[in-house]
Amino acid sequence: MKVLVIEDERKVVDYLRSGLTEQGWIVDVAMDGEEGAWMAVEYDFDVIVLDVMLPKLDGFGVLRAVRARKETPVIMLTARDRVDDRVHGLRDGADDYLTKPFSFLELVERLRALTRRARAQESTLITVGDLQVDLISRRAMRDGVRLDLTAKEFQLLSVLARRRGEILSKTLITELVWDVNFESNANVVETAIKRLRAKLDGPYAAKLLHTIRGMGYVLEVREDGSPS
Amino acid sequence: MIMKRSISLRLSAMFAALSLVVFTLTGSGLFMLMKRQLFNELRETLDTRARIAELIVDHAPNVAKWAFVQEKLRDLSPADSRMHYYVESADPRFSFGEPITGTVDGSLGPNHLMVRQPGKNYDVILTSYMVPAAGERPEVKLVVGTDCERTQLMLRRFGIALAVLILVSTIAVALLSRAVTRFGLAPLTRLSREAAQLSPSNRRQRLHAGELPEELHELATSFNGALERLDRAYERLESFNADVAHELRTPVSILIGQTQVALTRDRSVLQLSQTLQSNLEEFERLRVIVNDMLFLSRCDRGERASDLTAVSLRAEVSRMLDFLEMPLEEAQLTVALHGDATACVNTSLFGRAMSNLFVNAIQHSPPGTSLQVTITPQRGQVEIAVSNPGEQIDSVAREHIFDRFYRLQEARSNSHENHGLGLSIVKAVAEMHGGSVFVRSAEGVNTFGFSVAVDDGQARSLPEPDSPRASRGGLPVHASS
Repeated sequence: MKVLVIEDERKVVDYLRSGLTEQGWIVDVAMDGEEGAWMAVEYDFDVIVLDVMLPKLDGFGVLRAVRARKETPVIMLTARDRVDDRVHGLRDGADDYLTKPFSFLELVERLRALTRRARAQESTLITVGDLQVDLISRRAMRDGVRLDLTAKEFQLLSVLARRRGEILSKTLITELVWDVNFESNANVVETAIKRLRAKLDGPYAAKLLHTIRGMGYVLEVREDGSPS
Repeated sequence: MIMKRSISLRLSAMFAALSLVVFTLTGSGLFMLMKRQLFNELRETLDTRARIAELIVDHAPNVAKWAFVQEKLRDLSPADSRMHYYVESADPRFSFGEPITGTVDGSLGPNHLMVRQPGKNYDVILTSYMVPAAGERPEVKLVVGTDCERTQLMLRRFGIALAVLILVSTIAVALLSRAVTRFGLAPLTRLSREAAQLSPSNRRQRLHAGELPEELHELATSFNGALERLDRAYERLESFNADVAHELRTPVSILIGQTQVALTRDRSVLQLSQTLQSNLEEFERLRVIVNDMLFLSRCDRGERASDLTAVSLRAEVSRMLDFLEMPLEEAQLTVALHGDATACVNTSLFGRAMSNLFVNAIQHSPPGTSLQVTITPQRGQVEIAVSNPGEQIDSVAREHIFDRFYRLQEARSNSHENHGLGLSIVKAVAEMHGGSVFVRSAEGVNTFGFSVAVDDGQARSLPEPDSPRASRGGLPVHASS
């Protein structure tokens, strides 16, 4: 998957390049609007990350130039949190937008959604180590023992299991489990994770549910098996 | 914007125009009166002379006597006299003088004609009598005239003098009224000079309304009122800036400090990644503050909620209770939900406000108690209130509790989890929906709430379910474990 990042802020470019490369993307960078528009039209990318504030040609100009020739999905980064920016961008053909400051995880999530990158074949029976999650019968078994989960706990576990190995931010979990799309300062996710963890990992030596401080949670088998 | 001409200039122009009209009317009246008087006098003189002439003519029945008449009439009209006599007769022996011919210019009555002779610039008033026949004299027509040269000349001069006087007085009025209005408007000039000296560096300064005339007093008072409001807004902004800076200072100094500590020695990868994780937490906190501030500033700019959908507010509150189920259980709180109404809201914003109200209630309620949520439709709006048992909030705190970064003393200790914008976001959401916020504190129960505007007739109450415990998803009530 090839992504073109059109952004003039050196530090942003640096972390996006290394972060996205590590996630398996092939990253090309343009540091101003004219170069970005040229590259976007000249080469084929799966998705374009486009900043609004750019030297030489601003993001909207780039977007128009690209849209005149191509249908590459574009996600816009806007520093100004104004509705008209969004309307402006989306009407001109941007497929999505993120308001700065945005989280890297969220960007990756949006890029995946835009490129509809095929996830591992969606199976109705997910296995993570000795954990088995049956999405159809809504049952979770660990080491052959059925876990006694509430509906919400099961939903949380299935979201984590479907994206095993991926770090899921609290925002994303809130959205996927509770369909709540604003940031809440209620410790809902923390509490839910705590409860799920007690039932999922409590009695077992090998821990599956890990906290990545400041980022979110991941369900995976770790060699050391240590809780984080 | 086109600036209007100065008030004093406009006033003096109006005064001048007004005096011109008044003077002209008075002058014309005077002129007419004068003219009438003068002509009446002329006519009376003429009538007297005519009657004398009539007597003379009447007493001459024969030619011999007529010579005497001619002599008399000649005596009565010397060469420079303004009087003219003419006797017209069928018998030429009984005639006298020359007929006066000219165009008729008007009349002063049934028997008085004004005649303008050719080549003259004045009129002659003519009156005529028929003298009946006597003796050998046939009936004759006696015509007596007097010219109006002096009168008309006098009237003309009088008219010119009047016009000049009117003009001069009008100019005088214009000039004087300019001075008078300037004098009269002096307080206004002083007021504007005072207003010009107002500056942000001296915000306490106000206009001296007390010394102003009545008309300006009100202006100055309302201007001072506006200054007062601006001053308060400015003050809020200033303290807001200070609060923001203060709020950002803590995470920033943690970031700088712990990064410096981490870098002063060789650290293991584990230690370094712990530092980075801790940094990330602080950055997250900064991000949340920045996003909330941006949200609040959008509300400050007067942005209204968009994507409104008509929903049952009870259903929306239930959705939030579903979301907050676990924190409520952890805090050992139950919730009872009363009432319902339909309103057009942005469900995401509404949910955010509700969630913030619940978080506030969770933080301040003793374990094992119950929260009461009431949805009350009122005229043009719906009120949503969350009540929790708690310590009395004093009136000063109540006044500021929805202010940004305002925290009760007890809540300051855990400022890490609670950045003090929760309730101001509730307020912003209410304002974006055309509503407002309120807080009540009495008898050990604190109630926080907000309202959203609804179109007329929309705020109809929905029938409450039979039992207040019944609800979708079984959620409004949580049994504490």
